[in-house]
Amino acid sequence: MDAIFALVILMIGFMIISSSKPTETDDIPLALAAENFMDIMASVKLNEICYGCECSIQDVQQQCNNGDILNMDQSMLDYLGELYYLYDEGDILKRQELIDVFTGISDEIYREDLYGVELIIDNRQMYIDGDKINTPNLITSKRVLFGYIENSVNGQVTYWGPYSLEVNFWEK
Amino acid sequence: MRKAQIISMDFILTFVLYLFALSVFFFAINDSYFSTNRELDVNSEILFSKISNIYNEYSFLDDSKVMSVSKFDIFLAGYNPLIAYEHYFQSFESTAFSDIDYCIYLQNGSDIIRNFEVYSKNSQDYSIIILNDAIIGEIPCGTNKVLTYEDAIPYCKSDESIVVSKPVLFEQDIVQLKVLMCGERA
Repeated sequence: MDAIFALVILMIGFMIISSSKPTETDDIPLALAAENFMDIMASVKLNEICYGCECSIQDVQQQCNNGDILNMDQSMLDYLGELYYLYDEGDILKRQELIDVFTGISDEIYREDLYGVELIIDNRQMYIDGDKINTPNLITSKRVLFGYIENSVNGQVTYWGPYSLEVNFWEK
Repeated sequence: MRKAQIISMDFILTFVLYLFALSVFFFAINDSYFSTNRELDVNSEILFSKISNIYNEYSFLDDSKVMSVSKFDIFLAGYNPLIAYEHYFQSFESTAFSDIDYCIYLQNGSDIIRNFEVYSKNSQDYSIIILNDAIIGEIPCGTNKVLTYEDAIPYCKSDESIVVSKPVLFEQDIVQLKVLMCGERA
């Protein structure tokens, strides 16, 4: 009788262990979307989306034509950092340029009807699309930005950063 | 044995059997029993890593950048779907499906600007349609790989399908690299 008891208890244990499996989170596609977003922003340079000032992203093209882009050989993410530095130094118009570039690029990368997005640089909210308060699945992707601006006239170099750049994604 | 001992033993036995029945029930309805490897699924992170593996002759992606148009079109001209299947998808095979077909395409807005097909040796009838044209009829994925198809939405003839995507740079444009998988249940 004891042996039967032991056998049944062992079988129960085996079934419980085989039944338990970590549940797969639903946030995986969202996390990948956030990572993909950061990857392409960090790896693609401005001169790769532009031929001269003829750019595939309208807002970048406009700023290039205005002579606002000082260095075309920097990534899209670094350019956001540079715009933030100039805004932080007192050029308040740079904030709108920063938002225009960010939304211009992000429009090409993710679907606005599916995802909400928030951009925070140096702990300051620069842009938000949608309401993230009640979202159950918020994914954050972060990068540290730093760089320099070289004055083309006298060659003086000004270093900026480091800033933390944070992009929050959530499903709408 | 005394009567109280017999009652106690019956009680314990009943409880253990009850637990046993519950275990059998939950074991039977568990996802891992019914679902794992039975749903069409792919780990897109691993899949895109395979496609961008620089040691692979069938790689056309470098991180988030597709090779140049000229190189990519040469790659497509000498492209073999069976070899691509071995490189990209063979490790994702599922016993629940007799056939899985794949369509890899670059989408710029609503236009498909490049497309190519992948299928295994088992495939008898390729199941992915890239465009349904009023005059020509159904155009399977892989037809005129470098032709731009406007407002094209690839779809499967088979029941099960999944699509994964990744934003990539192709020439100066940021486009979506997409993989549509279509499965035929075994």
